[in-house]
Amino acid sequence: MSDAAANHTPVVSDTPEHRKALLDGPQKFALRVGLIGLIAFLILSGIYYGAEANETAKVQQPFLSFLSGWMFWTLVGLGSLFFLLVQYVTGGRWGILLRRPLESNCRTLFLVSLPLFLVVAATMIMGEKSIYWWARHHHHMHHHVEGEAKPESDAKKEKTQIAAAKVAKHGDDSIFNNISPHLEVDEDEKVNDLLNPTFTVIRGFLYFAAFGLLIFVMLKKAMTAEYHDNLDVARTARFSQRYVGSFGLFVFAIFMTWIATDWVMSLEPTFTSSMFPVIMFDNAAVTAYAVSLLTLLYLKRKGEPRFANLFPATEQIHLGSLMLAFTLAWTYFNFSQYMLIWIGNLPEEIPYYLKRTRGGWGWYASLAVLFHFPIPFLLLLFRRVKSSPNALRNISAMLLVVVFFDEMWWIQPSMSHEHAPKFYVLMDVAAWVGIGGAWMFVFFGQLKKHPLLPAREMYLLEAYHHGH
Amino acid sequence: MSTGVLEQHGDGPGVAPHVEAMPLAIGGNHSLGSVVDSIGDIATCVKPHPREWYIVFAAGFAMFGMFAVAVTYLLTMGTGIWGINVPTAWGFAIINFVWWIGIGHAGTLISAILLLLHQRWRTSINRFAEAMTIFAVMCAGVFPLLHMGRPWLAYWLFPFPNNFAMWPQFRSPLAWDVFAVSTYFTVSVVFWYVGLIPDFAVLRDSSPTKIQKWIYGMLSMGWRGSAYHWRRYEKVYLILAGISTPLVFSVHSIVSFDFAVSIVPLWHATIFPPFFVIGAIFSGFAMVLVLAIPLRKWYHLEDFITDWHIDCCAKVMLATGMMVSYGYFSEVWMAWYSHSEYEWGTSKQRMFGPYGWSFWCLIFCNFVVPQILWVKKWRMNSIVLFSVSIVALIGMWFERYVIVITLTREYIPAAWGRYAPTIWDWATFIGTFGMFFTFFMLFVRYVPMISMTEIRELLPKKSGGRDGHASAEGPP
Repeated sequence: MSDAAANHTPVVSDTPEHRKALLDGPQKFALRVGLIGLIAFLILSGIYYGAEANETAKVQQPFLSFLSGWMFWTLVGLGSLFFLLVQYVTGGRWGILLRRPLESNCRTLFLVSLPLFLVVAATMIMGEKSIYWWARHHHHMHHHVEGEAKPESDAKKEKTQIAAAKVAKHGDDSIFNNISPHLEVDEDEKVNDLLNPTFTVIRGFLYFAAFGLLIFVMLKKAMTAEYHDNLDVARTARFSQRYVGSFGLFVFAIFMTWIATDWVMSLEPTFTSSMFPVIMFDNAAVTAYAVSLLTLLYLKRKGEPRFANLFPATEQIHLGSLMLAFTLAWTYFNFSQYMLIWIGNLPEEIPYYLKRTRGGWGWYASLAVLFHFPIPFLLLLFRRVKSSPNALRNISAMLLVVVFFDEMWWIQPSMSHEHAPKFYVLMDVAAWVGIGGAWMFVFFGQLKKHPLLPAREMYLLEAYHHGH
Repeated sequence: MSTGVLEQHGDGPGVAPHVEAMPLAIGGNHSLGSVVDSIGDIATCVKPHPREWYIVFAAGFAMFGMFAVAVTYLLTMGTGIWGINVPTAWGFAIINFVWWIGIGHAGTLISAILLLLHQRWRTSINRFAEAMTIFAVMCAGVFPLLHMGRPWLAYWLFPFPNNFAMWPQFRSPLAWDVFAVSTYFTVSVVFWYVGLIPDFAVLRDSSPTKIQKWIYGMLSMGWRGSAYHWRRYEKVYLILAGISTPLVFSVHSIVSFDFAVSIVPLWHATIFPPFFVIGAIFSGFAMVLVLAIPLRKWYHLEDFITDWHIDCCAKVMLATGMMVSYGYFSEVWMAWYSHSEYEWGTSKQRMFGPYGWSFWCLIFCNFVVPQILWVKKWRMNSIVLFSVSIVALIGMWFERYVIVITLTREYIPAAWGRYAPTIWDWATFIGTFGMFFTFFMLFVRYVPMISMTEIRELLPKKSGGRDGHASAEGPP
């Protein structure tokens, strides 16, 4: 055994028992938090059902809150998939420590996000009580109430009805009056060829299937590259990972666009923004990154010797700077979208922001911006902050919360809450905490299954730190 | 299972299956002196200039002459000699403006952002890439000035108190452009010049003739290489890098706003700012390669601009090319998803209308052809890479062409029109190439085209360097 290999002693201490001792605690904690969150969500939903007078809204609100929580954690999985693909393609040093948390998040996407997608799929096929306007519209088009006249096939008349219904439902709210029947968007056609419930549900499963296949192939190759006894086979696997990863990024970009369109952007009838998937991707990246960083910092704090050595202040500064970059990107993307929609002031687009800046949402948005840009920006500029484990942990945790509130802001204002009981916000938080607990429970379980560091590539990191 | 892997094979670091040989930042066996001999002697004309220099300079200067003719005729006759009309009031002028300014972005990205990201491969290419930026911005600036029709009133673009009580329209991104581009130009020049100061001092000390010593001495501003000088130099260089970094994003974002703040279908796209920035970097790296590949061959600079540098640039081109292609996908997808009659109708016009060929041309140039770069063998082939870069430059020009040509068919068919450039459009555009290559060749002739200072820092300690800032990743 050569000297270089002898330096890899950390690998020996990475036993299942060791990992169990490290990760059992947080896993149990996640389970408890998750259960409390889910129970709270169910109780609050029940109370809401009783308290809300509107027959439709009392059914819709729990689903909308669920979507907020579910979307957040799904994005954690998708963001992790993105980082993992980039890591496999570029093989940068930054990803060696992050690899295991990212891989575990990707697996969790299937173990938690996919089963819970059934709830979202359910609301897509719930007809007139769906949270999606197109599902309701589809219902009106195809299941008219007996005794009433069949809805006019004439698109204009249909639109007039919808506009009138919107005004009736939301009262004399000028925001909704903006969505007037003279818009150039043909909603009937939109529902017929893309946003019909069956097709949208099938597409949802297709996204999971495609990503599932991708993750399966990638992780299988990763296993071969890391553990196969024949080094030639391992090397071939590592090289083929690059090509699969490149192809994967291609698929990821397109599917991420469709996911953003199908699950979130389509909550608004006429809103279209090519920047929106990019913003959503950035949030996915930030959350995936924050979860992974928190895991590393936890392991470091627990006195894991390898993490203390391999995740020193200099490495923290690098990873913290990457966080800074994603925070800046979020600001850039959001400012561009906001400014262009504001200055264009088109009736299709502007209601999106009008709804999201009125009725309290304006204050909410300003606070979200404050915690998403100026505060983390100013903090992460300083090396002293980035090199402090506690500060970096707090900033990561803060960003997780802020991104959730940002995503809630995309989703909740799609319904008018003017006359609604205001505690629906708590339902969102409960759903987020509940699903998050389940997510972290599975995540830690997955993390325990494999050595915490990719042994064969550790020398890259060790050589780097010895060099300093 | 994993615990035994290393013991079983008894391999050292070589077990990591994905690691290839460490790339070389500097080839050959150089010392502090030989770096000056190889680079500085080109600028001081101790080394004879190759024949190709004279050919490119002559061709560039001839085209520059054509530019002078075209502009003189334009100033005599007015912008009516161009093909612009209504609805296509922005013709070649805006296409070329955006194209040139986009090219400039790679220079700033290489010199500023890659410095902040500690990318060592920037070192050999940053100097001439920055020069490229400055000349490209000059070429870009020509077009809006000429398009104004009365360029002698260009100072009206600046807000200054005047008797007419006339101010720029501050809500127009065209007014923002004035500030963005002039800031960008100023910072780029300062950044470039500050980086040059220690190199000028080296030339001052190594020049064979008195006049050269005098000129380089003036330019080096009294540089003595003391520890104070170095400390302040490195500080100011880092600060300028920090200032330049946001400019990479702001300038082309504002250029994209020129289109996106309108409500013209397909122009009013929220993805435009990052889409433009990425496209700019894509075309900029293509231009860097177009310049680097011949330069290193003609001046035998393979030791400094190694295959690694070329490979890195090619990879950046591939990555940004894919991102730009995502932009094309996103535009079409969102236009269809919106089910807006005009967005989708204009998309169909763009793809299958009278100018449809230009859309497919851009898809071919920016998406199909760069796929070649996946294969390392082809990335390493100078001729292939040079050709792909030229194709990418053409593709990025077509991208702007496709955007501008949207104006021919947007909302009401009664207002539709056609657009064709005239010979004077072409003469002006080709003339700016002349301007670019004239200045660039003069730069190659009189200024060290690779930073000697930074190359020396990369040298190993035993040769008098700083081991690439003491990085353990450095070459042996």
